[in-house]
Order: sequence, then structure tokens, then C-alpha cells
Amino acid sequence: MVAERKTGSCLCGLVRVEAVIDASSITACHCGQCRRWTGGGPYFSTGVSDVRIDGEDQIAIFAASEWGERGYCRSCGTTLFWRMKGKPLNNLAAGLFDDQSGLAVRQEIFVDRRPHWQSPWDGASQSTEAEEYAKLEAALKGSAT
Amino acid sequence: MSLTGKCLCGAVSYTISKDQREVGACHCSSCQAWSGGVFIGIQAGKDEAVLTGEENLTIFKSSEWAERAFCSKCGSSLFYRVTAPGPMQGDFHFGAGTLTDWDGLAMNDEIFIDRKPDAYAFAGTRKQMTGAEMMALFAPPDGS
Repeated sequence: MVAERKTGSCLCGLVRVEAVIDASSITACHCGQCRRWTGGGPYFSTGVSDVRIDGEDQIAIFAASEWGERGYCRSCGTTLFWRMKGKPLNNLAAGLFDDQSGLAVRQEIFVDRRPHWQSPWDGASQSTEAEEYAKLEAALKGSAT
Repeated sequence: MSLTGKCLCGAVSYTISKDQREVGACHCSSCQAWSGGVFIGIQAGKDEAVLTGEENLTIFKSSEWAERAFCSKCGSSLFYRVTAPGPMQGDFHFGAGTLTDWDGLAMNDEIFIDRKPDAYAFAGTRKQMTGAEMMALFAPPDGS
């Protein structure tokens, strides 16, 4: 694991982030929601810790499902993060970071929705929509007990 | 056959009147940041698309020559539109991810290929252009 502190921002600069990112932990999500939200896809998110955000009041939150919410800059529309409702922010969009060198996709999810112009990433774990929903159900059950 | 699309929450939708199945990916740093992934555009001239729910759009002027529109309610990246005077003024490049139907789409070009992060690459071969080649294509011939 290569952890490094990196900085980034949205397109207009009103939301600035600084976080320790695990460069080898990018998840590529091919789900229908991420496809619509990004305007293409897949959505690339990176695991983060020790996050500092400036301009938090500029962040709009969309309740995308019963369990998930999506954050974006209300001024420029930049995609910021997906998070589980009520859980701490543990990922950010990889595209926010000024320096993306060394980033590698290690998990690929909703792979049954992957378009024909993309091949599976070498060395990335593969998970289907059904497998992701099973994991989600288990996580939701876990948080209820 | 026309094409339809909408944002994640459905507050903004559109119809493209021409039968267009070709899409292209832009790897420029603005598209990377804005979309959060890969922005894939589908082109429509200014008279070839009709928007519904336009009042829910926020328009961000991202450069001297273009603007980006997203849904104010859900943040979906809806379109990039050329604002610079010239034959392309008003052209839409809708985020292809917002299309209702992805059947038969062909990925025919990739631009700003030199800005693509090493973390990913698409399968197959297609026309590719660097950022410098793109800028040269749109710069005035006398360089002014």
C-alpha cells in the first residue's frame, strides 16, 4: 500500500481537499447511477483518510438511494464523493487530485455493466451487481444490529 | 430515430433529434475532475437537441470557449457546450452516460489522450488526438 498526502480541488476551486490517499486503492464503478452521474464512466473513487475539506458549505448532497448519497460542488458540478448515509467520508473522486501519478485500479465493481470499449483491469478484483448488492445488504444488516 | 437522456434524478431530460451512435471520450484534466471518471460525449448541434427542465440546470463557464451544465438537484454532468463564436457555437456534447439506451454505441475517438492517467486505458483502437493537436485544430489560422 502506497499512502501519500495529496491535494486537489473541484473545477472552480471553491471546494479544496487534502487527504492521505491510498494510491493503489482505486475502485472503478460501472453501475448505472455512476454512469449517469459522471456523464460517462466508470466512476473512479480512491480510499482516503485524514481528510481536510475547505469550502464544505459549497457541497451539495444528493440522496441517491436509501443508503447512499452523492456529493458535488454546487457552483461547478464537480463530482466529489459517494458515501454511505451516516458513515464517515472514506473516499473521494480520483479526478479531484492534482497529481494522479501512481494511481492504480484495484477493485472493479458492477462489472456486468461494463461497456464493450473497456477491458477488465489487470490485477483488479471483479464484482458483479448481484455480488455488490449482497455485500450491501450484509453491511446494512450489520449496522442495524 | 431520436435519442433520449436524463440526469440521475430526472429533473432534466433531453431529446436528440438525429440518429447518432458515435461517442468520444475526453481525457482532459477538466473532464476528469468534473465527471469524476471519464467524460464520454455525444455530439448534437444546437438545433438538434431539445432540453426539458432547463430551469434545473446550473451552467458553469469552464473556459473562454465553453461551458458545462449539470443538474442542480443531483449533480449529474449533463453537457459541455461550445460558447466561442464560429461554426460550432452552441454545439452540445451530452454526457453519454445520461443516455437512456446504450445499445449499439460506438466509441470512435479519444481526445487529450496525452492527459489520460496511466491508471486506465480503453480496449481496441480508434482515432486519438493529443491536447496540442486539439488546440491547433481550433486555434485561429494566424495564431491570434
